[in-house]
Amino acid sequence: MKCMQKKNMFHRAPAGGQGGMRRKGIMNYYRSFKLAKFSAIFLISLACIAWGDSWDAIKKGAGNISSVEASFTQTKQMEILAKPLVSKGKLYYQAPGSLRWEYSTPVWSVLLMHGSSISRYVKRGDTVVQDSAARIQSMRVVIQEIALWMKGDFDANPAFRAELKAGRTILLTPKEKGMSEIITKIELKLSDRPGMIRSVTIYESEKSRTVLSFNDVKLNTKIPETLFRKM
Amino acid sequence: MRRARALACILVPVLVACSGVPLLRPLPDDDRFTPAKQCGAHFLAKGWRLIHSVSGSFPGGGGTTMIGVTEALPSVGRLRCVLMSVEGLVLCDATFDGKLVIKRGIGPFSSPDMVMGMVRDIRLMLFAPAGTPGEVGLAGDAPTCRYRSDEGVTDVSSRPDGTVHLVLYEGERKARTVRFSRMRGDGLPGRIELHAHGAPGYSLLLDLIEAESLK
Repeated sequence: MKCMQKKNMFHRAPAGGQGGMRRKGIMNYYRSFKLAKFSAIFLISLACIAWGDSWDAIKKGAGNISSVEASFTQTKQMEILAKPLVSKGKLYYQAPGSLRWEYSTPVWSVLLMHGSSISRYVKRGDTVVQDSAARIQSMRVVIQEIALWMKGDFDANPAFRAELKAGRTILLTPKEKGMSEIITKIELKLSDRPGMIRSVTIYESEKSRTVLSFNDVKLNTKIPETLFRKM
Repeated sequence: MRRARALACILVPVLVACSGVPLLRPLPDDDRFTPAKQCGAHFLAKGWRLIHSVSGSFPGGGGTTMIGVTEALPSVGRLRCVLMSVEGLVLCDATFDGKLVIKRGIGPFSSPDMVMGMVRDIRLMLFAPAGTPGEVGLAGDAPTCRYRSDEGVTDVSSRPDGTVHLVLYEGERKARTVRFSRMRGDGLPGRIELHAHGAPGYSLLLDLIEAESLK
């Protein structure tokens, strides 16, 4: 069942637009699987805030986490940028499936998940607008995926080959060409402190990568429920 | 009933045509309007690397926000544009130097037509129309510079509130309207709003995050 759920998520065909059908194309893109996949990768990194030198230890570490609160810094490096583009934000997770993933700069956006309710808000100019419902549907798939990852099952994803390297490093490489054209590899570095991850690096190409680093991590604290329900 | 339909068939195209390119009235003699300064000040005069938040919205309420990076060299008309999600995933990386080259295109951005449409919009927002304004006059109450090219008629008008409005007509049809506002000290607009008319219409809102002059 787990495999089926994962396969469905990573094998959905993109709903491509035709030339000149920009609106439909963009919306289809976001409604379908690509963003869901990418979001999953980021959220998977959240799920990987576990610790260990073996898959068993990681699963055990994940099992001990009831909540996570952390700041994150996202650094985008690519050829066109003279200096990296830095985004900052905060994340909150409460087991079994509540999440707040919030960017504060340079573009504010927040994803809220609580029980069966999922919403996403973005800033459009000076106003905050809710993302389209269809896109949120794709996030629902991601959340189901996260629930599995939180159990420490991220080495079982059929779309990626997972290798546990020395120095508490996990290397995820796509198995399929379609995915490898989007992401060539993901490198997760676990912290020395059990239950924490130090950084996630997502490689899109030799010259383009995104580094997520976490700090001010607090585990198993009480997080107000309203954070997962309200903007 | 048939007669009414026939009349509508005749009148509707006529009315649409009449709502097209407006006539320019002569500027008042004492008007201190300087076309070169007021019509082109907001366009790029030199090379820039610009980072914008790009919010797209579509009929029916759908929309999303992304990050756009543009390297623009107006002297040679060269553009490189990258569009990425807030999470950092590059959806499109393309250059235009007389010819479009898509270095990376995911989903609809793998379509040259789609990307070329995006490049046209960016050129419209950043680069001054080719040549000098062939006509200058008042469109409504706004001093307006009119450029004519193979792509159509482009009207650029400056408003008393400091904003600049651009309208692109394709034939008699209004194809794009662009509003430039929040002018900065370096001459760049802090905000650009583009509306694409027709079906399917869409609008883009660009807020400048960072600007770096290219040497």
